[in-house]
Amino acid sequence: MQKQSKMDKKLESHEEIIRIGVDAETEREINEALKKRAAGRRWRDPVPWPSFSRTTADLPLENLPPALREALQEAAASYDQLWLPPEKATGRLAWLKQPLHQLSLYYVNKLGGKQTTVNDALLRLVQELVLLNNAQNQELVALQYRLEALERKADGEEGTA
Amino acid sequence: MTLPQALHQAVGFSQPGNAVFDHACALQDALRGWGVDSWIYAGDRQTPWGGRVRPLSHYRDGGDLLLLHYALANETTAWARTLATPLLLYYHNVTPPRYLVGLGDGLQTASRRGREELPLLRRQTRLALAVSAYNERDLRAAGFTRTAVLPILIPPTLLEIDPDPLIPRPEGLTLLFVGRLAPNKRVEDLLQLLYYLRQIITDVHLNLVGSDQQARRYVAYLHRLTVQHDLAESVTFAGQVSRAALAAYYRQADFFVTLSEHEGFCVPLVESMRFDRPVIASACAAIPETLGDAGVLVHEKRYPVLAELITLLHGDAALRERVLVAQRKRVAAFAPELITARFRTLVEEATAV
Repeated sequence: MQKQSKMDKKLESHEEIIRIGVDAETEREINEALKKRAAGRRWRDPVPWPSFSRTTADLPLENLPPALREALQEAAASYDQLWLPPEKATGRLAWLKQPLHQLSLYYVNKLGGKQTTVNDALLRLVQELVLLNNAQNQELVALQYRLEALERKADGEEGTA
Repeated sequence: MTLPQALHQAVGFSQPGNAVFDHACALQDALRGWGVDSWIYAGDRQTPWGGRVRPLSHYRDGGDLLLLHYALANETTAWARTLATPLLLYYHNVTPPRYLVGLGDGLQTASRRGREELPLLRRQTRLALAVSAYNERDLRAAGFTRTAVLPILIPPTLLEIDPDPLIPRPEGLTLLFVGRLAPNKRVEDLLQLLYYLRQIITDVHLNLVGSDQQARRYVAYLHRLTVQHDLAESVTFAGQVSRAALAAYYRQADFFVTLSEHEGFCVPLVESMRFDRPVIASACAAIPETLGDAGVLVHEKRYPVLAELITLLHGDAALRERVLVAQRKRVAAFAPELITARFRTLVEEATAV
């Protein structure tokens, strides 16, 4: 299954999946029955299900070198710009141009869709790596502080001794 | 307490179908019905229109009170800051900028400025109204101390309209979503739900009714999803439709479904309840407040379970009726006479200050 959005995670804090406005006991029973029915069925998972606008909003952009920051922003803004909307053909040969236009769009957009899926996966990968790198940097800084504190403590103990 | 002789309103946009403008028109009808002189001054008009609207330049500053509808920052909100007339501010919520990523700098800027500039109106505002308690929290956070909640006035005229006979009735189970196609509405989640639901019920159709002009890139993304996941024939992108067509879509729907993440009120919930259509909606933002104890609230977007839920409700008339009974009770809270009476009281209070 695809990664859940922040809001999905937030919603999970509630005890039941749905609130249907009946008494608590019936509501619990309905929730359990639905979960059971869903678990008993074989589903085709829609993989991948790309999200709209891979956003850079959650990334620690301020900590990144400018070139990397700009590249990430550019990638997030353009990764899915492959879809071509249908246009209405005009003029004397519109009756001929319109179906030809639609036919070509069908194949172009099919290919564009596959390319977007690839772009989406790569963009997610880069964004995850940036987050991982940032987390490791923070850990490194914390460890450096700790090391310095331990060194100070050791120096103090040596001085006392 | 008495009503003012005149209470004009100011809006950013005056296009019929725009939720804020429709609401302003409903309030205008109420005010005129009480004998109060009332015009709507709009930032997007150069000449008077329809016996209702005038351009901002026609407004004569120095009146008793002006009702300013506040959503995104725009020409009207900047203009209002220059006025000497005290304001009755009506806050409709500002879609947070994070939902507007990728939709152009203009919208994001309008959203960010909308939030940043809201506190600048505190000094001029006698009373700040919000369409929901959820929105009222924004007003409080912006430093407004005199606030009140006034739900959106939705005249039941849609129920009285003959539905457009040209709207085709899909075969099988029909789901309906009404609203702007915008990222905060999470229409992609509805498509994902449809993807799972079609694995149980093959004959199912989703009608998406609402403007698709504001976020074209997002709409292209939705189209792409429907093609990629073989849903194109099960989804209708109806765009913004006439009132008669909207009535037809409500009447032919088996369920109204929304998995939106950000709503200041959500008018279609009330309309669906009026049309006696079972509502299934995410427990986000103002949605739980508007639904009260009615409808089905989704606390977790677990699509297989939600697909099973729709199947269950579709097949179980008794359970569906229990949902509808609660909705009929809830929708009474939005009766126009109740909202207009509350509006009158609030206007009188603001005038008396």
